Amino acid sequence: AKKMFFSNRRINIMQLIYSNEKTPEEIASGKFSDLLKVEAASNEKDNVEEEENDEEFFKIIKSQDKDSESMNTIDSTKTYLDISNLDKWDDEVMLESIRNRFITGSLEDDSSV
Amino acid sequence: MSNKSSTGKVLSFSGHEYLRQRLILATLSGKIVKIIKIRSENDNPGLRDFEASFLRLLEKVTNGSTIDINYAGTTILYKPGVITGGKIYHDCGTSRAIGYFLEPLIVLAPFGKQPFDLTFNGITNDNVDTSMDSIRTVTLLQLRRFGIEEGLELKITKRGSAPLGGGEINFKCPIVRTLKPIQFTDEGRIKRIRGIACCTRVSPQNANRLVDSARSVLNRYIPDVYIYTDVYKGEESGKSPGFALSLVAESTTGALYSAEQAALPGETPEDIGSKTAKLLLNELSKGGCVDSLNQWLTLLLMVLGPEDVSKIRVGKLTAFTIQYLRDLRDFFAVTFKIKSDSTNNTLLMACVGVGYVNYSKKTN
Repeated sequence: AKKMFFSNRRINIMQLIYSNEKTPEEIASGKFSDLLKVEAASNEKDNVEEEENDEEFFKIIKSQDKDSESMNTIDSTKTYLDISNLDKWDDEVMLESIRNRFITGSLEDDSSV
Repeated sequence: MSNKSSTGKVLSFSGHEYLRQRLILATLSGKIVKIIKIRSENDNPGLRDFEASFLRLLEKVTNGSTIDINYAGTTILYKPGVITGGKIYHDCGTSRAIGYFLEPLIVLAPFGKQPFDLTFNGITNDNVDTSMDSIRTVTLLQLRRFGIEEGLELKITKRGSAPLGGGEINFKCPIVRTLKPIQFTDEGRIKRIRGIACCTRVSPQNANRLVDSARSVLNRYIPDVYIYTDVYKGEESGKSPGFALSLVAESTTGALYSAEQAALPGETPEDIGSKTAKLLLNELSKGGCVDSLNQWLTLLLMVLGPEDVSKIRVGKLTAFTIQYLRDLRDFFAVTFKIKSDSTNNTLLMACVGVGYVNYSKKTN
């Protein structure tokens, strides 16, 4: 079952990127480790869109003007970095979890790097 | 110039996001691009001054490009010419940092008729665009892997902090005929951390405080942490007070990871120091052989490489990179084979290059 899950997953990443209507922001924020959830979310989203597509002549533009220059819409490589949850690096367990990324880490459990 | 003749098909995009990369990819691929709906639903529609400035810069580094902008500035039709290069001066203004302008040009530079020699004026360090320090210590080193080495340099002659800027940089890049393919899947382990703490128009002591606070976070992992302090005085320190920190971690296989922060009003050097150090840890936890800031650059150079397989290991893809992958497919018809490596949550990406050749450079 595990094998099937991973083979499934491989296709999904390429599908997500190349044949999907979702915005890059949605894909990037959806964790790769939990693609099933992402897929479920996308299905949900489709449903919502269908509901919205009622036969109205005038479309109401979502009021995005005010913060349209917010961090996500600025054309820059750097603003796509997540600087919001840095507090997790105050946690000792979290700090130790990347110990093996350094040459000072133990060589035994290389697989966890 | 370009290895593909224009098919006469116009590629169409909408929205002001990802404007730079589309113009750059159009220039490299020789395809005509049309961008519509640039802030057409905004109270203040059309191009911003920095975008117009970028278009002007693009006109300077190419020959024969035509850019048609409609009256409201909401639609651009760009017909790329050839990349010329040479000695160019550009005032970047103060609405965006120099990084906004320099970053995309780095990929054009190797394919010019003449080597690029750019002098830019503006803001060198801020929190929106990649700072000059990171470009110099990380981004340019990525080019090295693809065979662009000699004569590549970035000098920060004057520093300028936001909001008034006043910095100046000089960028030189040699031209190459073709790129080398890369096979870079071993990320190695971090062996050293370097950094640059710079300050302008504030007490030099601030730079030392930046260094101390960053070291206090990073020294637990590795003793080899060295952060240079770079204090500019007088004329060379621009028009606004400010300080910034840029950190680089290098692995045993030469993979580089960067993190950087510039101070906003009211932030102490200690805040910035520990914030940057944590950002670096964040970057390291993602793994891969290239950091999130430079994913796009590496992927683009892989696409432009010879008709051979290039392979890279990357950590988590950023939204910017995902859009970049889509745009790369639209312009060059190259899709990456992406395989996830479940042992350490990284992705292995492979592609066959298009065999881009710069015919202005003679073979030697």
